[in-house]
Amino acid sequence: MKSDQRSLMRLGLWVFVALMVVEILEYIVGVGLKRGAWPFLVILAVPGAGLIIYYFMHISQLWRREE
Amino acid sequence: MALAKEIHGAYSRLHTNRLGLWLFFLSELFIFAALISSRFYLQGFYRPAELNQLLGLVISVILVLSSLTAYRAEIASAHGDQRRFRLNILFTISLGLIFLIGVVIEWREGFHFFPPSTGFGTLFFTMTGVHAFHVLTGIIALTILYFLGRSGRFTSGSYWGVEGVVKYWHFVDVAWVLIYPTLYLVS
Repeated sequence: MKSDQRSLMRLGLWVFVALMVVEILEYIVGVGLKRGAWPFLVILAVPGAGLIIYYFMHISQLWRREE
Repeated sequence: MALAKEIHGAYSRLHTNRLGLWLFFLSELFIFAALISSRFYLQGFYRPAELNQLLGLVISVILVLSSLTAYRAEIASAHGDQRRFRLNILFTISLGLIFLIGVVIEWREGFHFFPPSTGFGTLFFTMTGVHAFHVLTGIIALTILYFLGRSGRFTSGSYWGVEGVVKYWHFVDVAWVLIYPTLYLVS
């Protein structure tokens, strides 16, 4: 495996770990708080979706000039 | 000069393809936004006590893991690593199928505790059903991708098909990341 390929694979793994943390925290908040959980869930879910959009879907390609 | 024009043309085409795909995602996002808002409009923060939150977490983890394998497949394809590309596509398809099995288990419980004739049941089955349909179409696209990849269709310089399908798979994951707390966790 080439070094840039390896570093990209590693980046993907870190994003996955961050997403796992988000999912588990969401679960703890959702199960633990009987009332008023939604603001915390929004705070967790939106950055979670943002991580996928930015790192996995490469949204920045849309405004990048060259490949 | 001719080569420069050719390269510029290919880049423009790729850029247009990407823009078109993102516009498609935007239009799809409206469907999911309408479903999520209808959940709050019709049922508020109500959630049945019988809803299996742990199974919801498990299938969420499976879908996020499938996003990682899809990402790895795209990176491998971009670097001409065909073996890793095919392997990761197979992992992604398998995880997608496991996710669908999880949804079926959820539905079996749902039919018992909150059938589609109830308010929450209507929302639950519509939201998970629409999402599961997207997962199913993603699996079909990934399967086609696998066979195309096996016949040597994609190279490190030409892999738009891989990029497009993998992006679609990630979009399905994004939709679930928003649906999961909306359905399973708010109270």
